[in-house]
Amino acid sequence: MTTVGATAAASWFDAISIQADIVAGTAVAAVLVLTAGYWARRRASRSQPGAVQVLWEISVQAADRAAQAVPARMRPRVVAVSVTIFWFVTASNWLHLVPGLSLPAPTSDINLALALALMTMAVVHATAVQVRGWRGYLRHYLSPWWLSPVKLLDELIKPMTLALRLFGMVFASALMLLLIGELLPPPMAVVPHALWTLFDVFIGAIQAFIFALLTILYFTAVLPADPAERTTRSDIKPGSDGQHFSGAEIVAHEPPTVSQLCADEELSHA
Amino acid sequence: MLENRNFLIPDATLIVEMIAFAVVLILMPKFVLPHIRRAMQQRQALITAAFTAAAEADLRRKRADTEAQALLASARHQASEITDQARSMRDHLIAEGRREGNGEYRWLAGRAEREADRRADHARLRGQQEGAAVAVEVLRDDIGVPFDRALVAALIGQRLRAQRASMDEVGTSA
Repeated sequence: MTTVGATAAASWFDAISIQADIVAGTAVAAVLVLTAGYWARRRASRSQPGAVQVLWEISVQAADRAAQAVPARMRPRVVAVSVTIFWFVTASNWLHLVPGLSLPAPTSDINLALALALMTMAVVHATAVQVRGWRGYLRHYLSPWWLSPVKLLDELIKPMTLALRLFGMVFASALMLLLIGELLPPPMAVVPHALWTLFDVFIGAIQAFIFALLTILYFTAVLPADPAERTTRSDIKPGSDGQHFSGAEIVAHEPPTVSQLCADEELSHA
Repeated sequence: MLENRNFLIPDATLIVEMIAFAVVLILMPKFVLPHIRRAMQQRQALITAAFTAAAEADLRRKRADTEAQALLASARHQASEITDQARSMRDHLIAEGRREGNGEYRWLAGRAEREADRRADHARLRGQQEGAAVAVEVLRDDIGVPFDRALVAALIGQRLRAQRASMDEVGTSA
């Protein structure tokens, strides 16, 4: 029978207890994500990507698009962290739906949800310190000084909201499945159980998406805006000799898109 | 079923979960995602190159199309000029042929007319000569008037020559 909250606790000492099934579920989710990633890496093809690779690429592309406000040099890290979080949370949310695998969703336990939130915020702040330096990082929170308490409170609340939102949704969803199984007689429970399972799949993906998106937003909030990003194509002007561009301008000059190519061609014809 | 412990309070599992997630968070960006990102970038470069090549090919096609249209227009113009020249030459040849034909026709007609007149005169003289010979023979043989044959022939010849001369004068004056 599926259980929620009732976990197999392995007590090492009186004060220390570890919930073995949650840890096992987390390990299985991690192995699944790493295996899928390794599979995609082994079979990564630039011309004919497989289904697994396409899934990874879609998530990377979506994260890349969401992280446009992040400085360009930090964007790969932000995208990697958010994509990892998305697939890990998705795997954890869906784990209890895998038939034959009698493990609870690890995210239905506050420990994993809180661990995810704390680690995420730790990476966010570590990246901010790396980019801004300690002085700049602290100045970011001390200017203006009278908002510092609010900012500090905000930073404390962020991991809590992240953790509680994920935990609450997955816990409630698993609880609903349990209640449907417990309260309805078996023949009548089949259809509601199937419907709620589908809904649970949806909720699991949505929660993972929200977690990853909020991670990107937190990165965006703590990282400074990239000066090079402000340079647009219209700002690029020839150098003093009329032919050469500065290094920043060349970096900011993105390759033309298909529509731009077509537009340029039409202009040349016109 | 629900456990007795407060499920909102984390325990030591939190540390294990953090370690597990940290492992995933280290391994994935280090060993998996760069490869996927590289494959994406390479494919994007391929697609961009293909689009650029397609755009260039389209540009070349349009240029060739323009050149072909210009060549076609030039060829049509030349064909039109050649057709006009041929028509004008045809009209000229027809007019010249008609003119030459008319001239030849007139020359042939005049010649035939003259030949017919000559032959008619000749036939008429011959008839007159033969009629005179018959008359002389009748006078000599049937009536019995003696004639000097050579003299009669000379007289008849003289008369006929005079008649011919008068006829020639009439034809010349006509």
